[in-house]
Order: sequence, then structure tokens, then C-alpha cells
Amino acid sequence: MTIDEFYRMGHGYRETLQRFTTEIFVCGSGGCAACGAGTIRKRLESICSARGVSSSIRIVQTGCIGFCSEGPLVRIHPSDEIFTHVSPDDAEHIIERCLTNARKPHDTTHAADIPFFTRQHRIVLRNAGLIDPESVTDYIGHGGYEALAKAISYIPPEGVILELRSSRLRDRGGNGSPVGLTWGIVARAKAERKYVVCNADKGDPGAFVDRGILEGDPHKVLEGMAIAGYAVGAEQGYIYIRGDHRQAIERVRKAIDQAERRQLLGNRIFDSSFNFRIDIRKGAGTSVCGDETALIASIEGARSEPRPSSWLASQCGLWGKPTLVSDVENFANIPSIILHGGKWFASIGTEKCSGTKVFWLAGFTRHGGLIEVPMGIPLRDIVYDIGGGIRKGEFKAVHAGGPFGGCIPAQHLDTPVDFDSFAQLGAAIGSGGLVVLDDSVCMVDLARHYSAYFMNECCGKCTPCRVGTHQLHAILDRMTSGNADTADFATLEELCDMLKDTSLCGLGQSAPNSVLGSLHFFRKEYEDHIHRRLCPAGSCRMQSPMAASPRQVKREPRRKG
Amino acid sequence: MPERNDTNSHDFEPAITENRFKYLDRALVKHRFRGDALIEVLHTAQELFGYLSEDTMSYIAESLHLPLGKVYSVATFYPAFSLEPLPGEIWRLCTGTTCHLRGADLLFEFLTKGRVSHHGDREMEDITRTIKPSSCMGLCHAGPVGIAADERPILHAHENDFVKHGRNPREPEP
Repeated sequence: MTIDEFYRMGHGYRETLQRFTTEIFVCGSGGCAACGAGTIRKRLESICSARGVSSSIRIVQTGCIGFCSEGPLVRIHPSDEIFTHVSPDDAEHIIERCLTNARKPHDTTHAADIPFFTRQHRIVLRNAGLIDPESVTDYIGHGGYEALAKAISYIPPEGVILELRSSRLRDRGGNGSPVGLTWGIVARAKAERKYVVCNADKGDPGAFVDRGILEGDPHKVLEGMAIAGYAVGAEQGYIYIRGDHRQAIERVRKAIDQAERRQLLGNRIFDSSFNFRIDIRKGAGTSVCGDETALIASIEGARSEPRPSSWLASQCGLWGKPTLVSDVENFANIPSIILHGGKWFASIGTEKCSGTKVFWLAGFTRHGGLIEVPMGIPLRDIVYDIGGGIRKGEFKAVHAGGPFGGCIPAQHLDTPVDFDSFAQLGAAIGSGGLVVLDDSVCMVDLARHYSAYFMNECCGKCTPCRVGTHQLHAILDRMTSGNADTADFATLEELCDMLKDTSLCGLGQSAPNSVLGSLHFFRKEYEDHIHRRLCPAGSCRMQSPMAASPRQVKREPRRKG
Repeated sequence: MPERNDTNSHDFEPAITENRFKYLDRALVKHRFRGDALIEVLHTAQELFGYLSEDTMSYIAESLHLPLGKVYSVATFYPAFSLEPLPGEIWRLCTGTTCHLRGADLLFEFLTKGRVSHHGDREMEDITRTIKPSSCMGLCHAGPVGIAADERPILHAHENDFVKHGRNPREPEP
């Protein structure tokens, strides 16, 4: 379709939307879907048609609204009321509420009254929870693909990269390197073919960020990838999604189909000479986020083993061609940057870290879910305002960045959320997982959990990682079962240094991060596990200190014999 | 695509086998017999047959013009593929960080009595069910979370939910 047709379509869709007096958004992602959001939507629809109000009330199954701990969620627009813990029996009441404004006490709250929503700043997740992720027209009606249209018709490729540089967007998935720089390298590389790869295979066992974005607003990521393709001169994109994220794969597949049918992807986009196709690649269960070369090997259909680090994907990536590998969240930020300008984006957040960051807030807070906050917000505000504090017990630490990150204890709770302050504490923003821990959590056990992750995800190519992660797990396993001795403690520290220095790729190099982080702040807990054979948090199942003392152990078999 | 439910039975009729190869062919055509689509094709085969037999692998190797060794190396490398049929229904249990802290690891240990295959799949004592670890499902507040074979979620999972004739997980906890 041509640009004129495209704008007319968006305008026409907005006019149809105005016919409805009320919109009811039913969260259909992740937790809410599993708790029966589909039944709630069907019930709402049948009540609407039975009462003959289908023409004034629109019911939409949306992506993640974010307030996952209180799901299933229903949100009413324009009054912006939120119904929590909805059951199918509440449907009647919700419709009644839309039609007559009848209000039972304590059953709803305005989003404006909940700190969980008011403290957030949504750019990436702006549409998530407001649009139907399975409808391209809904996305276009909410300003979708306008950035792509603007880029193709008014901005030369170099201009897109300049805009990105002025936005100072930093790599959300990795170490916070400037995204504009990588794009520039790929754009300058001379080759007949180039590729764009979106890494949606975050191995973090406790994070939902990429999935939340892809399930809530898949077109935004596709649009970002198309703009990237336009800027660097690529005609083929791959989106690599973890295989067990079925819903995300299904939604992205549907989104690509719809976009290609409307000529928003594929050949001659907006009747220009720019072509861009996107294919899905399903991950098969090994983490490749440790290294982009491993990800590339997997897309080529081989074992996902990393190459030596002198191979830069931006110059020699997929099939030896320059390849732009980036994170889901980076791509989802691009449309807003192009539409509103890099300066606007740079004005959000802090001087060094612009923009916002999506986090998956989990653990032992009162509320949790998918949140997006401006960079620089103190961690305390996330835990106590957005999360509503600890459910029971005392705050102990926040584990940030999943297995690749580290922990931030109570004395550093006022740390602003940005790449540099987190890195100083040995934590990482990484995949955006924030696990809030209370005093019932044993840090050694947590380190053991993450070491098991590395042990399972290791590709086995280099020896330090293959053997080291196993040994790391074995030592931590001994500690949590009360069988470790002092020598293990020394070996543990030595092993961590060895893994960091000698592993081939980022996966092995960051394997000891969670151990080193908790060793630094909670050394006493490790010492208690070894010397006193005690778990201060009481979560490890050890033998009692008396039974485990050497004398007792020796005496036991003798008694049996 | 056929229903996911029939993916685990491996003693199917020849006519059904024929049908499954037809679906596999469709996937091969869709990827234009390109060697780099190997993982995608293996995914389809795994979904259709429930496991990758030697016959399936050599069929795929021939169709994609790849050496059988390469197909075998990829199939054994990734945990998503299995070379032999998994016993019984496949149930999943979240091993995300929050679920772990809420007791998923103890649950695993209890259910499997420590029997873990090299890919991390765990067999239950009665071989009617295989328990697979799964990544975060976004239900952290209700952890530990499991998914039954029919995609029904099990919130605040308990040993009994995984054992046959156990407590109905929809019922509130006592």
C-alpha cells in the first residue's frame, strides 16, 4: 500500500473506534491467560450481545497489562478503572459498571490511584495492554508503522543512525554499549548482503521481559527491525525466539503474516524500493545469549557454539556477512525514537543512561509483574512503591539481571537504576529480571540455582566453562547440604577467577557473577554454611550441626555394625 | 498442524506415519530444502513424532543434502530434541528463580527421586509421566507453577498435583 493509503487506513480505524463509548481490555498474556482470561472475555462478549450493547462496548483481548500478581485483570477505558482477580462471574457486574456507573465498594481502583501504575513511564510497553496484539489494524490505529513510513519517506539511512546516536540509546540486553555505534559499523561495512537479527532467546530462568514485549506488542519489534534494515541496508531479518515461548512465537508469526499482506514488510514496502523480510527461528533450548556468534551459529542450523571473540558479528556474522544483532527491547524503542526524535528520548532518564527500562519484578514483593521505569529511578522506589514492599518478613536483597547479574543488598537500596551504578555493585541490568529477596532466602542456595543454570546451558566447547560450571555447582551443592569443608571455600574463589579469565564466551565469563556478588555482600552466610554447617536463613536442609560434626559421623556406622 | 496431544504416542498406524511424513514434507518445502533450516525442520519432526528416530533423521539429512552426522550432532546438542520416545505424558514444572525460591527444586526432587536424564528431563517413579523443566511462565506470584499435559496450569503446585488421582489443582489449598 502507498503512504497515503496507509495514513487513510489509520485515520479510518480511529474513526471506527470513536463509535464505541467504552472499551474493555482483558489481559490475555502469561499469567492472566493461564488463570482463565479467555473464559472471562467470552462471558463478557456473550453478555454484551445478549443485552444488545455490542455496538457501544468493545472488548479487546490485549497483551500483558503488567499487574500480573493481581490477575486476571480487566481494564476499562476511558474511565481507566482496573478490576483485579476477576472471575467469570464478575462479567455481569463489569458490564453493568460500564453502562450505569454503578459501583460496589472496594471492587475497582483507578489506575491513577495505584502506585504500581503511576510510578511507571511507558514507551516500549505503551501499547501493551491497550491494543489487540493479533491485529495489525489496531496497531496502525495507535500510530503503528508511522515511524517506518516517516523513515522511508523523509529520512535517509544515515539520518536514522544520527537520530539514534543523538538518542544515546544503550544496549538493553548486554553491557549497555551505545546502539548507534553498532548500527554505524554495520551500515558502513561493504557487502552485497547484510542481516538483522533480533535476539529473543533470553536464557534468564526468571525473566519475562522479552516475552512480555513480544506478546503484548509484536508489531513494534517488527517495525523496529524493519527500520534497522533500512538504516544498515539489510533485506533479511531473523527473529530468534526461545522454543518454549509458544504464545510469543504464534503472535509474531501472525504479525509477520498480517504485515506482509499489507505490504508493511516484504517487497516494496510503502511502494518504495526498500524490501525487508523477517523469518522466525525457534530456539531449541540452549542459551545463546552468552555470545552473539553462538546465536548466529544456531540460525545457520548448527550447534550453538561460540566462535573466538575476534569475530565481530557486525563485520562477519551470518554466512560471513555483516550482521546487526540486537535485543528485543532495543528494537521496540526504535519506532518511538524515530517518531519523536532522539533529543526527546535523551531527555528521559539520566544524563548517561537515557530512556526507560522494562523490568520483570518478581520474588517476594506484594505486587509484581511487567514494569517500565525511567532510568535513574532509585531501586527503593521500585521495591517499595511499585512493588508495594515485602509481603512478609524483612527485605534482604534484590537480585538483578538474572544469572548474569548479581545482588544488591539493603544498604545499597538507594542506588539509581542505570548500567553504571549497577555494574559498580557487581550486578547487571541484563535481561531485566528483578527478584526481590526476603530474609527466608539463602544466598548460597540462590547461587547454586544460578550455577545449575550455567551447567545446563553450557555448550561444552571450551573446557573452563564445561568443567568449571560443573565443579562450581558441585561445591555449592556440598555447601547447601552441609558437606563442604574449608578447602572448598578456597577452591570456590579460585574457580570463579579461573572461569572469568579463561572462558571463551560471555556465558562462561559471567557464570561466577552471582557467586562473586553474594560472596562480597554475604560472606558470613557462606562461612556459616562451611564452619558451622548452618543455614542462617533456614532454607537449606542440612544435617544439624551436632549430627554433622566429624565425631558423630564416625560414630554412626560403628553403632550400626 | 495436528493436535499437540498426539505427539507423544509412538506406536502409531502406518497410515498415520505416512501422514506425518506428509506434514514433514510440507515443512521441508516451506524452508525450500535449505540446510540452514535444519533446526526448524527438526522442531517439526519432534512435534510430529514425539522423538527423532534414526529413520526420521536420515530422511531429513537426505532431503536437506546434509551429512547424517551433522543432523545427529545438532539433534543431540539441543535439549528440545529427544532421540527416544519420552515415557508417558509430558508435564512441565517451572524452574524460574522465584519458583525455585518457593520450593520448585524440592518438588522436583520429591517427584523424581533424583532420576535425571542428561538433558535435565526427569522421569517420575511411575513412568506414566515425564516432568520437564520449563522457563518462567509469568506466574511468579503463584509459584511453584506447573503445566499439565493438556496445558492446564497448576498454581501453587503440590506433590499431589503431579501424582495420578491427586488433588484437583483448581480447588483452593486447604
